[in-house]
Amino acid sequence: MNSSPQSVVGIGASAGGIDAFHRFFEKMPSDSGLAFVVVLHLGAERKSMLADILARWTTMKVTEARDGDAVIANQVLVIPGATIARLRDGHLALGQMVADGPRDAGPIDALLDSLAAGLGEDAVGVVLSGTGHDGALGLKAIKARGGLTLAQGSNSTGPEYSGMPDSAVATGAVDLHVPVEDMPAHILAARKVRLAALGDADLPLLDVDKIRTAICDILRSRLGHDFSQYKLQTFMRRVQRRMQVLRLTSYDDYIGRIGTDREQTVLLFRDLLISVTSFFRDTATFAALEKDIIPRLFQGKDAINDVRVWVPGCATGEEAYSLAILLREHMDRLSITPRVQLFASDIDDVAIATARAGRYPATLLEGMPDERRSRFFTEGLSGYVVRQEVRELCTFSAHNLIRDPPFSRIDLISCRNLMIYMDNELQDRIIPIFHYALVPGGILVLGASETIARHERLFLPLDRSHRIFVRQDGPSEVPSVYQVAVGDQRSPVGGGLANRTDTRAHWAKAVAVANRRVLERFASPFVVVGAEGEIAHFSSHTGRFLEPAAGAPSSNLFVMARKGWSLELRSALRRCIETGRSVEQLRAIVSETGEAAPPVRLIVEPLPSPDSGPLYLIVFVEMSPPLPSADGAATAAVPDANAAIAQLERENRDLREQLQSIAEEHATAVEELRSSNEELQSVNEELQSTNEELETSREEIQSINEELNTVNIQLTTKVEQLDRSNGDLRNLFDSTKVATVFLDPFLIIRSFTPEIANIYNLIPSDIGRPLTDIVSRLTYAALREDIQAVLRTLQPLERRVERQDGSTHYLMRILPYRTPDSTVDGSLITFVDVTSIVRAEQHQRTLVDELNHRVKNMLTVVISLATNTLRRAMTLEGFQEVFLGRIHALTAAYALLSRDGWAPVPVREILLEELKGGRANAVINGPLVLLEPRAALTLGMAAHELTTNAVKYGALSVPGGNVGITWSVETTERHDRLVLKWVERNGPPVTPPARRGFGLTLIERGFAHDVGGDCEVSFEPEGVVATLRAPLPAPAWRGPS
Amino acid sequence: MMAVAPAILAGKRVLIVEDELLVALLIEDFLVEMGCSPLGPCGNVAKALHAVRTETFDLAVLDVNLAGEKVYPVAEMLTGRQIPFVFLSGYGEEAIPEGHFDWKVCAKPFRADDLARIMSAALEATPH
Repeated sequence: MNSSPQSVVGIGASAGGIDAFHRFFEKMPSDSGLAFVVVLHLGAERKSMLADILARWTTMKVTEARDGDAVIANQVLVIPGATIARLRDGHLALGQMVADGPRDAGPIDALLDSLAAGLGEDAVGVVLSGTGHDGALGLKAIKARGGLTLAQGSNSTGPEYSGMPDSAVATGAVDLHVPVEDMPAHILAARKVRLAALGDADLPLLDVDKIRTAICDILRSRLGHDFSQYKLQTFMRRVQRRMQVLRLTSYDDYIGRIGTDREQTVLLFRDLLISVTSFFRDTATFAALEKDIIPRLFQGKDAINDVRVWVPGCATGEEAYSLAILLREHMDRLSITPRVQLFASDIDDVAIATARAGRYPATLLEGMPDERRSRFFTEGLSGYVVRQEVRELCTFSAHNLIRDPPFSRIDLISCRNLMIYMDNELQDRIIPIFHYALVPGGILVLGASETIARHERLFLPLDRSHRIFVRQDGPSEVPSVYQVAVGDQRSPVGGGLANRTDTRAHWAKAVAVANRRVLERFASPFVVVGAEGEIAHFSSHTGRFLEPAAGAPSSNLFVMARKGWSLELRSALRRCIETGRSVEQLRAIVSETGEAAPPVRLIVEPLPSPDSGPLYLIVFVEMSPPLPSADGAATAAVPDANAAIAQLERENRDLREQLQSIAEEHATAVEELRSSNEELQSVNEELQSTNEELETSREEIQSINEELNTVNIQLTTKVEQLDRSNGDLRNLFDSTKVATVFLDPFLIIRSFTPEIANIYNLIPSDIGRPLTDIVSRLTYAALREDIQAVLRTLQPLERRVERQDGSTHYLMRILPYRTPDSTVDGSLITFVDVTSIVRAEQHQRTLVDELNHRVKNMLTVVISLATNTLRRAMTLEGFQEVFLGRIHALTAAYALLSRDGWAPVPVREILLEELKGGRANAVINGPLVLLEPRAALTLGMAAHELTTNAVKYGALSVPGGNVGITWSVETTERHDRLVLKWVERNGPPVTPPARRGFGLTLIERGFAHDVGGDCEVSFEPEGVVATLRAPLPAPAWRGPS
Repeated sequence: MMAVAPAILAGKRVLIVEDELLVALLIEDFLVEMGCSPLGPCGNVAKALHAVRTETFDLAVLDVNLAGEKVYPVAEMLTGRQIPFVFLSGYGEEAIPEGHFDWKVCAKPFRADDLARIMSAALEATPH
């Protein structure tokens, strides 16, 4: 580039500005190559001395600007007071500022806006000390166009009033918030970098792309926002601007800086966002809102309903007004409108003040279609003002999203690009607050890269691409205790306002009264008339000059004027109208009596005109009486008149100044009252919200209280039941002989019965240890596997286990432990002592074996009997008789024995049993002697054989025969012995048998073999005699004594 | 009673150890039919042991249960003298204690044939 583009520095200040200018220009070199335009807030009446003052501090040429002046480098142009200046094609265009309310004041905004429009990146905006917020949006406009923005930061010297710099900073558009002394250096350095960057314009495209990608990656990973679709040129300009501010010349350095310094990343992010039009940002989203969402809000609502919208983080208000415009557009289409309120809040009350003003430089409205702009904005000298019909929908207030109670019953929340500045924890707290604030089915709109992560339960996406969500029904989680900070804490503006307004109001009142008094007592009579002479106001005491005219009542000055005055008045008024200046005439009065009356000085002055038309003040100043001398009269009167006039003029001026001052203060008071009203409205809303919350809380607490009561009673009952159950359980445990141990799913001991001590040596402190750690007294090793099998299959398992010393047998059962809701939570093992059962089984087995053996033995005996009997039988009948007889004898003997359970049997009973039929002829005698089973059987069999023989062949075969059976016990030194004698008499003669029958063999050998005794049978001629001897073991034969 | 007695049994002297007289008598009869000479019967372990020490015989027939005592001591003594024997038992095979599976047992009730067969087997098994 051959010639560097012109760079103009626009500087604005208000109260405290002189000092700031001083410090600024002191440090600014006079060969910087920059042009300077200075604006200081001043009233129109004050002749500005600023140019002369500034000239003291710099060697640059300093002049007061005039319309059309060229803006030249190394020169300072000072804008006069109450003037709006704009830069056009390198020249200044000046326009009169009409001061009919602070709304329209904004000379700094106007100038900076025009610099932004005309110079773009070569514009530099500086805002210094002052109250209010003039310049804030102007800086934002410069920022939007890529220029450099500075605001006065604090140090020991200033700023004296920080309102304006603070407002500027609140827009987020200030690059450098530094003390005024440092500004020149920053501006020059940035300029240098900018010129260097311009020289770098032919950086290869590939490198630019790489740089852009690197930076976009950092932005995406840190802030989640994707700028890769951003216009490359604009993007790079933003980056270069940030580098200028940081005085970095290397892209790599800058990339490194934003990679590590989050603040810088956020600042770049902000710059990138600001460059886009502030109103209706994200056209697509607003289109979606206009088409789908706004109509939805109004659906089904009539005049008694509300539509309530909340824009948190509204900053300088563009977003809020955009929404308000959409709302107003929709309302205009409806015949019946509900009441619409838009609450816009921001934690920064300085930004709120700017938003309230509703005035924006043209640059910030770019991109808005003309119809919308002309429909909803009034074009003022220093910007566009939001029209009342939109403005009245909005209520701005300072509000801390976290601390203060949220607005409630909201239909739509638009919170775009606020959350991106928050960390995750903060976002987590805010989403539920939005959920609480919205009505069921309410809408939440977030910014392009914001999500409701972790709160999917609360919101459902309605339009994902435009980040529009709908509130899900469900309970809201919001801390129910908010502290409503009212008064000084919340809004210094509000608090201070009240005081100042009060004092001002009193002063104003007093001043008004004072004025009135002075007017009435000391001032000359006067009237206020319109250009045609129509009187708008009479003072008192105008009677000397005016009188009601005859005819219809008239309030025209010329009609009412007394004789001779009409002409004077007409001419004076005409002259005043033509020149627009004050007119004075001296008129000698000739009274009706002909005396010379003191002359009257007539003063006619134009007044500040309202819209209805110009007004003029006509004062009749009565001079002091003339001196007696005729000639000297006039002249003598004149110095007096002059003095009087001068005095009156002074008084007049004073009065007017006071009036003006009062008017200004009044206007300010009204404005402040309006602000205050908005604040209060906002507070009211919040209080209402809090009130509702408290009501709800109270009801909730009441109901919770009730529930707690009920729960308490339930719990008490349950505790009692538990106590009882525990007691039962403990008693049961202690009483049971069943050893039991309860395990958790990991084989850890939970509890056990005392009986378990016989098996596992457990003590109470073993609870919590695994059972497999404990040594058992059993021969059982598969405990772990068995328990795991049970837990796996959920089937009980039984096993026979025994103590290692073999003394006790147990039936072990492992069962899964079931909780009341049927889940398995461990296992229990029981050991039932089955020793007796085991022994019984063993015994039974033995008995069965015994029985088998005996039966088999018995059968062998029967076979033997049969075989032997058969051998000697002659006939079948004979065999049958003998055989059956023997079998019956055997049976009888066994019956006797088994009747008493195989206990020893008395001899007498055995004999009686076997004698049976032959008993009648038998004499039986002997002591009680009990025989063991074996002996008893043998005796029984012997008795049977003897009886059979006697019945067949012996003493019992004839009627006269008899048998005598006697027995006794012999005691020898070895053992006792039974001796039994069988004597038959009176029977047929006996001959010894040729052959010994089986029966005899049985008797003789039986006693010998089976019993260990002996037997002699002798066949004496008188009858058979048998002597049987059997040993009697121990004292058992005696029987119970 | 019996078809044909095995030849090996002819003339053998056989000791009967049995506590039930009637069963002993039966065995006696069977032995006589087989052509053997019966000795005893001994009704208890003491008498049996005495008989083993003092008598000479070729084979013994032992009832396992002798009035409450088991006959095994007698068997051990016979084994020591290499005299073959046969058990008689209502318990059958279960009567044989562990480790003596070569001992032969005849289950009660038995027929003469059974007894003869087992006695022959015992005689053949023992080396002479």
